[in-house]
Amino acid sequence: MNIIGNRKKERYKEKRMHMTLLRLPAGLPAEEKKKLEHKLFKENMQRTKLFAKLVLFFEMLLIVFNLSTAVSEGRDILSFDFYLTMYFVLTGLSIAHLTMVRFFEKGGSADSIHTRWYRKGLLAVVVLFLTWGGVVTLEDQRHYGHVMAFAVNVMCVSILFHATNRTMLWIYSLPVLVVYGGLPFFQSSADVIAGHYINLTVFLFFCWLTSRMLYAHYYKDFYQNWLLHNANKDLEEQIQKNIEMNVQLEKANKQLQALMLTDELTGIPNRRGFRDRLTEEIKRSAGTRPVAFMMIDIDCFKQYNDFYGHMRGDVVIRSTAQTIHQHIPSHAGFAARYGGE
Amino acid sequence: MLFDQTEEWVRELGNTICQKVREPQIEHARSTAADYVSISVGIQTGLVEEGIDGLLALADDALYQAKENGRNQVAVNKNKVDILHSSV
Repeated sequence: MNIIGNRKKERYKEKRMHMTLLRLPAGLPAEEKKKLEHKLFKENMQRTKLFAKLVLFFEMLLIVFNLSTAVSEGRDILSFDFYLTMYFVLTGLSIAHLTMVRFFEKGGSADSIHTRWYRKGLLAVVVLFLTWGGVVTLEDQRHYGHVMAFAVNVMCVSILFHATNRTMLWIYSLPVLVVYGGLPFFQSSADVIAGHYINLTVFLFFCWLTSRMLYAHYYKDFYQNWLLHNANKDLEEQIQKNIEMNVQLEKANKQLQALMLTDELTGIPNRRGFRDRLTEEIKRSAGTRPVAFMMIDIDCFKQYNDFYGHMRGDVVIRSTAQTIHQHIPSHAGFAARYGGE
Repeated sequence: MLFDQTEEWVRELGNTICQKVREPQIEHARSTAADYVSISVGIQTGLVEEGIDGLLALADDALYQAKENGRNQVAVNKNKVDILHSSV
């Protein structure tokens, strides 16, 4: 029973693990989410910048190839050619994108209004890139009949551009509408159209899955860094508090020790304080050091107390102790209340 | 307690303190020594190596002498620390 139960648990765990690949951890404050989005945006800019350079390079190659075949076949290079036009369009888009990235990098990211425009710009570039793939795919239906141009672009975007589900939906929607809506007009075979719909839908689903996993991974990474940073901050605060507490404890300890060695009534050292200072002095003295003890008693103090009361007796003790204390130079020695009066 | 002083200096200090305590003339009707609050002082001088407890006991003896002689005075113990005391 137990083994089966455990197996069930294991399977349940596995299932949960699959789910957590897609799910985002809860608990990240809105302020941190904003930071994450901004960081992600900057990284998206960098990744798409590299990609735009590659696209630019390939489009140039295609343009050269297209033109050279036109020349060798004796066609007029100025006559309209759909693919050549599309290559120029994508080249223009890439150049525009690279220019935007350059402006963004120069301007820094301090201004949030500007950043918002750059965000929109980047989204527009991505949507146009996908739509470009869609349009080429539609034209392809008249020639080879496959959907690779669109599929490759969707795959590239899903891997390079990390964003929330909502943003991804925005990005996918227009190009998908163009392709799905245009297919019947460009593809004459109903069977091929049905095949394309099924294949593209499956493909789009997996592209979304990949993109979601990448985003979730990024989110979790950020979240864990945030947790770690918080834990470190807490730890640092705790250490600082401990240090402060230790300093205060040490102070209190010293005060307590001073209190323990002082006679409450007279303010001069008590018997313990006397012993304490004595040992200290002896430690400091080497060999034969002259020493003198002066034992002092208030005359007939018991009678004084009995006759005048303890309150006045205390006053006498205090003033006598002060007189004695005042007349001993601190370099010569000290007075202490050894006991009684 | 005092360090690095001669016996004369310590005796002088004892006398000064004795006098200074009397000076404010705090009334003490039941004293057998004087009309005012006064003190008795017992002094013992020696060396640190002779043993502190022995010297303290001898200072106490000196105080007893001062009281015996009528209080309100300074007494200096002329005895030296014996071997038994110093070994403590």
